[in-house]
Amino acid sequence: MKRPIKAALVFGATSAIATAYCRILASRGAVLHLVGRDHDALQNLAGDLDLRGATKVSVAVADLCDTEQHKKLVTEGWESLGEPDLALLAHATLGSQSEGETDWKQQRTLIQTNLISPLSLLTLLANRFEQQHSGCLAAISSVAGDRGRPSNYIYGATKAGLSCYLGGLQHRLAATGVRVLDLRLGPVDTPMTAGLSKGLLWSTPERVAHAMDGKLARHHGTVYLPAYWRPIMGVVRVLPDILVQRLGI
Amino acid sequence: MDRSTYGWGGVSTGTPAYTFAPTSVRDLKQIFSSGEHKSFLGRGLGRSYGDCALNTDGALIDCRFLNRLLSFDPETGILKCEAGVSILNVNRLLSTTGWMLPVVPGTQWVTIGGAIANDVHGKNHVQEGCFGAHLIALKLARSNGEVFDCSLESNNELFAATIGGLGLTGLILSAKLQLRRIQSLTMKARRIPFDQLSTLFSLADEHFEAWEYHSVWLDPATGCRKGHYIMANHSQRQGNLTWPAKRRIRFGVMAGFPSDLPGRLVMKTGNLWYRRGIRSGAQETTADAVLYPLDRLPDWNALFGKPGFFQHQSVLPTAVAESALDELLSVIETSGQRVLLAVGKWFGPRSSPGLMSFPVPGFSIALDLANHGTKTHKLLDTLDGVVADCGGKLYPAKDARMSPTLFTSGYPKLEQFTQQHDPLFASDFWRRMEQSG
Repeated sequence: MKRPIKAALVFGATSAIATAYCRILASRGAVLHLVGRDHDALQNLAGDLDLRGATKVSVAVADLCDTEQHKKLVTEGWESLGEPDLALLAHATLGSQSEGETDWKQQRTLIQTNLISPLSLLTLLANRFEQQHSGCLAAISSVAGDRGRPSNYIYGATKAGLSCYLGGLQHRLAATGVRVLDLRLGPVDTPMTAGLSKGLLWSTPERVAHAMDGKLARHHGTVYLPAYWRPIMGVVRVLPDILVQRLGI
Repeated sequence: MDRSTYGWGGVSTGTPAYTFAPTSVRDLKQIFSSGEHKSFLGRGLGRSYGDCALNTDGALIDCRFLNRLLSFDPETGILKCEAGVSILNVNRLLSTTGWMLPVVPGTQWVTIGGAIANDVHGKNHVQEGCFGAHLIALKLARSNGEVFDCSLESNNELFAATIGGLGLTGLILSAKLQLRRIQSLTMKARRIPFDQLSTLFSLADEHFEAWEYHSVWLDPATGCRKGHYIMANHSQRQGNLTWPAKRRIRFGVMAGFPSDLPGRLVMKTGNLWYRRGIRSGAQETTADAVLYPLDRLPDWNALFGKPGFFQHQSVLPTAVAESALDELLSVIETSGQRVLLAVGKWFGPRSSPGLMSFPVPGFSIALDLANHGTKTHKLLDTLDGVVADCGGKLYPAKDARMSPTLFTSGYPKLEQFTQQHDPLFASDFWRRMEQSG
């Protein structure tokens, strides 16, 4: 079923990818409810989206790691949007693989932000959408979750967990008319990856948001963004262990 | 893993100890207060040619994601936006309202913060002055965590120092700008070929009144003695206000190429095409073509591969401009090295509030030169000598090697500026100027 996205609830809205996607929606006159951590940044973003043509933009400030608040946040989202066509989860941190290997606290923070927080939100959102019998539930995951690799398995594990959960949710809700999307992104030039050197396969928030826009209106299931990551990860998944170790990827 | 950051010319490199991209003032304050970094520098889209936007071993603040428009009033044309918004985005988003930035540099891939920090100029400097002349106010974050609202009325010393201040007074967070009205994105342009430098200068005198945009293309094949004089005006008739989506050809892949040959070939072809293809006489064209001729090839610098290239942009004061230009060109001729691209502009008397603004009334010439090592450095030093002797100066945004002496002599308000300098902000350029200056 194809239904244009006119009302969207966005968690982690000030992240570069969510911002780029919100701008596409705003240019079509969408109604947006933005949830994020920083009040000033959210207000500025609301002003930006308003100028770009959004019909209405409302904001809610919250630390999304605090799962106690999730119920209230979801309720507020429905109150300000009516029946949203889309809920997008875009919050995550990258952490440091090398530091995390010897620092459990850092790993735990990463799991809290990238896995526990989105799973709590997905639980609430899935039930809401199920009652509504329509809508699209999408979360930004990563190709890092496709295979445990020495360069980023801590971050990868949180994303693998998220992707697995989304897969199950998609099948559970298949009959209800609710679409669930697992957006598996390759590396993107954003604040999260500011310290990394960028190679040929890197994308930009604008390009990814544009590709996402094409998928969110009608697809469901696992989507690789940009699309070239599907064949690449197809290969990476079946690489012999010895090669993964040798390449240190 | 290569984490070096490059200047646009590819000659200067500098690896920061830490790169950080804030999306809010809160992020920024956290970094300032962490006490882990010995210096800070903001960086936008990296179009400074040399080391102005490099901070080796310090913290580099990537401002590209502070890119939100805050407010715009279609009645007054006053825009408020964060400093990481690009000129491209302002053009794209606001042109349909009938407004555009009054002063733009030769590329749209420049952030508003970068345009302020280098107090950029355009082809219409004679009429409109610098970017800073249209800046109403700015918000500046200092490394001690304080945030200042600066304008001609409040914190005016900080305001003046930040305009053209090379990002050394703190991090520019947002700006309030006065845009100008346009009726359409169509422009009327006129190109007049000339075959000696004296004609070029008399052409300018003749046409200053009637035309807003003035630029000069000098033909490297003739030792830059001949070329085209290009003038343009905004069309006064109502017309298309939508910025065209043009196909762009990308060269990013070439960045690590061991030779600069592709770049030299492309420049040569460009010059040839320019020499042959252009008719004189008035014609209708687009703002895109007049203002940003090189933007069709967004990362053309990558064509110069590992060796990179230099740009020597000086301003030669009006009274001596013609003779000084003649001397610059003679120096190049005797050196046996070939200019890749030579472009000129005029600067008028309109002053900028910026203490460290580059333009002074006169003729500004930008000379692109391939990097042939010591030989090229020697030539550039000789060119510097000519510029210093005629009382001219160089543009830091384009520089990768000028001497502190030339910098000091070109910027008489340097001492006044230094008083406003944020003690924890620094760039490779600044450290180079401090060495023996």
